Amino acid sequence: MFDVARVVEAWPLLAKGAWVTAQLTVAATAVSLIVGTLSAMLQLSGLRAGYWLSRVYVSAMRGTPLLVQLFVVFFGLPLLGIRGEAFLAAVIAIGLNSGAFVTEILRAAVLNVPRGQIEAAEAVGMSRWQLWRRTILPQAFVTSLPALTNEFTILLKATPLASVVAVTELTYAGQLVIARTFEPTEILLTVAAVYVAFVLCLSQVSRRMESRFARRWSIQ
Amino acid sequence: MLRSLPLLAAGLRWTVVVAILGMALALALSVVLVAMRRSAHRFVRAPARIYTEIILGVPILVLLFIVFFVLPEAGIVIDPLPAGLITLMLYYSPYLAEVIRGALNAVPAGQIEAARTVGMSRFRIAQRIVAPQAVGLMLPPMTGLFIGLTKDTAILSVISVAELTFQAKQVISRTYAPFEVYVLVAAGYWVLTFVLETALRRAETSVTRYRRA
Amino acid sequence: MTRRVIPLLSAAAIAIAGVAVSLSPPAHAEALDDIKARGKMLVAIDPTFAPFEYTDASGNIVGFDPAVLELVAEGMGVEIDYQVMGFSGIIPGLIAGSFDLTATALAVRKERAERIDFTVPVAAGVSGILRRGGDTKVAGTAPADLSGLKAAVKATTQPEQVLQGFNEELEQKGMKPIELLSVETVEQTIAALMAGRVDFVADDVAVLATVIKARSDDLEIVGTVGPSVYISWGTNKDDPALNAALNEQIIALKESGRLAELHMEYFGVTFDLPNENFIPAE
Repeated sequence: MFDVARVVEAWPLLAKGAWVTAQLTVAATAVSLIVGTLSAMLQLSGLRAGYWLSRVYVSAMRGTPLLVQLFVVFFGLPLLGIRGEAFLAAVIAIGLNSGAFVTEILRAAVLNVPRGQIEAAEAVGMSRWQLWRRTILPQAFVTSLPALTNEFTILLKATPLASVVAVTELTYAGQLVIARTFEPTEILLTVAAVYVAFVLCLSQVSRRMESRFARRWSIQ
Repeated sequence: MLRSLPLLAAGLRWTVVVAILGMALALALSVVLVAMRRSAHRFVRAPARIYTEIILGVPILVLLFIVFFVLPEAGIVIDPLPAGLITLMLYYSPYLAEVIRGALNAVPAGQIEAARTVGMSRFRIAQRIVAPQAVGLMLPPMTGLFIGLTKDTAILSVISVAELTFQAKQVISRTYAPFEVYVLVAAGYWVLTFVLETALRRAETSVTRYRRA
Repeated sequence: MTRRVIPLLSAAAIAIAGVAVSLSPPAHAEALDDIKARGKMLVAIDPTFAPFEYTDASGNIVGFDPAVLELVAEGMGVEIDYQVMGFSGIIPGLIAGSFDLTATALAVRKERAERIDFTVPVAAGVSGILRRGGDTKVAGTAPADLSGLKAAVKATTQPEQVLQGFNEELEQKGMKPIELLSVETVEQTIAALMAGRVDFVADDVAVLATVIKARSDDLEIVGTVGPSVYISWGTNKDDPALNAALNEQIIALKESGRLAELHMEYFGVTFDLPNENFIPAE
């Protein structure tokens, strides 16, 4: 029932799609982390406008489907004079979507940093920026690493939606093969297996980072 | 554009129905998974754990394709709506199960032992000690998952379930006004998730009243 | 209080963004100049539609439209940069200006012509009804023959709208409508037919003929439905110069007989194609 030859024949195309999926995941994760961190800082900065900007961003991203957001970015980029950048559109949409969840994760983590530490840092004369960079953010990242890993796993699993804006990632590569061969079973199961492998890699990396951080910041 | 509003409204209604049924089914299966994971027998625990690992690694779109296009090869042909509901159930139940498991584990064992020593029955312990604390703990993460599920109903549009996104594509194919339609659709989802979040937050407030007592 | 304000603000932000996007015309420079400067054109295509456009085993985009487009691009002295995507996103993307043109086979229709510009027709087609071999339940191609049956179609395409038109007719007569299963690719419609989910598939007859050739299953075409349509490519309304440049090349291919050769190669028939007044009145 499972014909391996079909997988072997399709493999070069699936591998190409898997590579696009990997690039998309890494790039969108970077955008998500940067935007999420800035947004969390804005929300906790004490600036009223910053607080509202961040809250509105999070609410809009959380409340609407990524599919719709992808269309909005894809159809919106040409207005800024950017055309034919499907990959960029996907990275922006997926990164911004995930950044909202990263905001929430980091916000909670920052609020859990003991007040005493912040006061101590202020007492030794750290500037606001130093305070964030040296004291608050490192701890927030370490304590929220499991939650962040979870979020980036979800991000990885959202990448198939990028096909609607002309990015031929793994799932769409599979669909193109199926459109030619009319045989979905082997291809879809292989595609699923590749995602499972990706997710296992991701959680391995995260586990390594966790123990590394734990040593570096000597958090027990 | 105005003529397409009834179509979009019908789509929104289906989105609500699909989301509610999806939540109920996912919750039901997640309870089974939790029970299996807490079983004393390895052979009951293992399948639940393996299932969880696999589902946590598969995108919901791929899962939907497998349910709709691969199962027929094995002689299992499921209509679009049930296939979509089954996909939501299969996909979200392990996530919900993890939340429930975490919340149950967070209830201090000492409290349960203490209740047992004062002679409370298992049911009483579950009702009076475990449930109030665990439900309060599981509601916030569950809200996030239910919002995710509600938005993921949009994916069922690819197998012809006539929910909001499906109708949006139909309307666009007649009006060719993609922006206007997607803005409306985005607003529709946002209202739904907002109502859902508000309702669940109310529920959380009432469940956790004991904390403020 | 604040909790309530945030979603309201978000909704307002979305609405304003949406209105801003929908009101401002796609503000790009004339696409033809862009293409000449870049040396390549961005072409959206849905390569799941053999023999019009599909991918070969190595992932190259091949078929009738790509073959014609290669000649057109050569004549214009530019390269092709394909944007591969599902059909339902192509016309919206073209309206938004996400790419320069689409060379995916588009049925020329009046409502479409109101929002995009068509090139002169490159081919013609008609929708056909495909059933499992000998399945007499699908007795004919009139709306009454199809009443109460289930059909699989590719979402947002010409055949889907033909059947939706049938349903309006059937409803007026108080007959049972055709139950439509709308999916994303031709292959998925065929899978639905073979799994017994539906009784028939409606799609372009040339596409159905290719499906029959590609598969060993017992499938047969019952007949055609709906009007014959011209098949063209599309450009954005703001790019008349690009449209004219494409037309010039296509007309040259018609006159040299090269287009007819490609028709024979991919469809086994030739078409008589007009160069003007090809937009239907209905």
